[in-house]
Amino acid sequence: MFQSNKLLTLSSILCFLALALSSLAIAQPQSVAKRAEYVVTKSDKSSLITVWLSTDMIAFSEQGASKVALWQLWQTNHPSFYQVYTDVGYRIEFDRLTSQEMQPVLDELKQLINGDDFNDEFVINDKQFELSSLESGESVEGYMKEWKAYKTYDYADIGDNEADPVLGKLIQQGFTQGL
Amino acid sequence: MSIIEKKQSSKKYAYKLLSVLISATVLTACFGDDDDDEQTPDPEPPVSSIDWAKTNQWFNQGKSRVDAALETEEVLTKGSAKNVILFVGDGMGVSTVTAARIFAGQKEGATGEEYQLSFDKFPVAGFAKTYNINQQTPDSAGTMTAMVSGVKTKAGVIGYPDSALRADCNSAKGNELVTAVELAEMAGMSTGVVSTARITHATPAATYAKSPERNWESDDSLTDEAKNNGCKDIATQLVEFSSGDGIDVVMGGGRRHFIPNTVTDEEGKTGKRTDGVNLIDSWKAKYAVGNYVYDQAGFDALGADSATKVLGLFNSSHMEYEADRANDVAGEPSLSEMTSKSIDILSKNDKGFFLTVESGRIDHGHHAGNAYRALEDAVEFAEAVQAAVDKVDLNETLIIVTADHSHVFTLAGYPTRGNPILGVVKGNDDAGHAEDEAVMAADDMPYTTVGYANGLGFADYGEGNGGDQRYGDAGAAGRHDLDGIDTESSGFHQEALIPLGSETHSGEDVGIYAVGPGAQLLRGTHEQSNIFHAMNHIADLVGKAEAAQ
Repeated sequence: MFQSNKLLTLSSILCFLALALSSLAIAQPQSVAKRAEYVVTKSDKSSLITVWLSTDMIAFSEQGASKVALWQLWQTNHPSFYQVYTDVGYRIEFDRLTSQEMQPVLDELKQLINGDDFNDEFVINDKQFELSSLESGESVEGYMKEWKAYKTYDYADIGDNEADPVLGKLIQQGFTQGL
Repeated sequence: MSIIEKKQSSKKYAYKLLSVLISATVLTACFGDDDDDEQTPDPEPPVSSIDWAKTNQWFNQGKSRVDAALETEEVLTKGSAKNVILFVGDGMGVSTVTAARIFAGQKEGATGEEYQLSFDKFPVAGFAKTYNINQQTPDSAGTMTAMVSGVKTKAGVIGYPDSALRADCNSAKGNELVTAVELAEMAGMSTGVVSTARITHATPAATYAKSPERNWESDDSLTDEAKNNGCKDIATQLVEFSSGDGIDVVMGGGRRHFIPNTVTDEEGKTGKRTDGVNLIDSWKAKYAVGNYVYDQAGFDALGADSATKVLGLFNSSHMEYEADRANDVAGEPSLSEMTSKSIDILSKNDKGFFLTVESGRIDHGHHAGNAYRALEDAVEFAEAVQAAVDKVDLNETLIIVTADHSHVFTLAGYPTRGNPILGVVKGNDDAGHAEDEAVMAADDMPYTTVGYANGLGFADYGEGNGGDQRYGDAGAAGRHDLDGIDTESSGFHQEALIPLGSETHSGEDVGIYAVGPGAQLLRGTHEQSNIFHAMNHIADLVGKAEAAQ
């Protein structure tokens, strides 16, 4: 009697745990944030770029650079272009016109995307893109979320905030113009 | 005895002397004998040593200007202005005014130098010393606080005196300054704040907010210290503004500081707020009869006769440069249109109105080293001033046009008369006739008339491009070969000497141009804070506010 009660209790606990875990899995939104590295080859010269992807952000940086070109709301008609400086935790938000001017770069970047995933290989403007590594999950999503918490300046406010010792130096570097 | 008192005394003495001389002449004529009359030859008109046929338009215009000045009545009586309009061209230093004047004239096919912007025609002009309490070269927060509160303060600080430490809420609280907008509201007047910048940006914010840090535009920027000590973000202060019945007309950019970061606005941009508050909804709830508009169509549909409270937020961030306005996603009104409609709405109040109008993007064009956009905005600013002149009765309305600070923007070389203001310098030959070829500098390269002493420097993006795009490219200060480059295009960025991440403000005085009652109070060189005192005196803002309490 005691044994059967014990078994009953154990099975109840297991059932409860299974239910709890399954409901947790349902409640937890599946992370779609991904980070890919591509080898870019053109005229026998190769380089590496990193591309980040989430539902509302797409970004890329060149190998070894702490500057990231970022588009927020990239799937809409009016994406906002940012320049992210990951080594100092700053972002500069650009205007509509600059965002439009960067649209061709965004269009190229979109060619690397297939649904929620990255293409393995692609050729854009005589450049061969070959996927070399892929990472996804919470660590990537968390890293991208950090960008939103960076100190953010509007492009037009740089002049009024140049007393900020970091900002003045950052802006002189320019940003990545294309893939 | 002051210089002015001495002059007035001398003037009175001169009048007395004149009347004595006239009396003596009349008496002589009355009592002189007939022989004298016969011997005196008929008086001949005076013969001038000047050949008047050699005079030109400037001589005649000068005479006309003096004649007009003699007929201009000086009205300095306290409270004699029913309305006050303060126009602020952000960053519109004297060199910008000169270049904008030439630019506007050349757009009309003239040589340009002789052209008059609307406020060039005002009868009174003076200068304002713009320094902040702690900076030789100022920023907009401190300068606009001086203009609308009468108290100079630190750079970056809005609505607090210099005892406040920047970005330190605790040091500031309890010392809030009262602004002309608040006084006007207390007095029962109508009020308006219009800007092409974000309406939470330093210059417009100084008219209604108290913030020891200009960048606290929405709650996401507030520090823990600020939150803990009760400082509120600037957008919240605009909506919660409690003097009188609240600001009647608010138009500008900056929608993002009013909506949560989870909300996407009408132009596809997300908000900034992290507190989840939608301040546009709060404003609508506060002013049930109010009109919220966000685009050109909504603006056009506003009936000035019926509208009493208006909130117009036409862009997520700053409104477009005038040069780019036609390409805006949802469409934006011009500064002239906003000025005209604001006056139509505000002038319905018999007690008068106080309106501030800022052209915020002259400053941004200069910071980006793009004279084209800065000058286009300056010309539109002058159009807005003209729109106001056309709308109001100048017997009862004081209009002041000024700038918060200048920029390191220069007009240099010896270009011939009518040389395109954005062009390369082409001079005159030995006889003084215009030459066709560009003047070469010592480095054997041409150079432009306008340029910057510092900033990111040269770039050539082509027509329709440029502006803030410049911040995306590395700095390129110093000389560049301009041969074959269209320096007059909107995408050209002028050369700069000292490499900086952004072209800077400059510290020289700015112009004050005034018309209407009290205008004469602004003659001479002033501390910038005197502008408040002139407005306060002529509209008796404090007196009316106190009387209404």
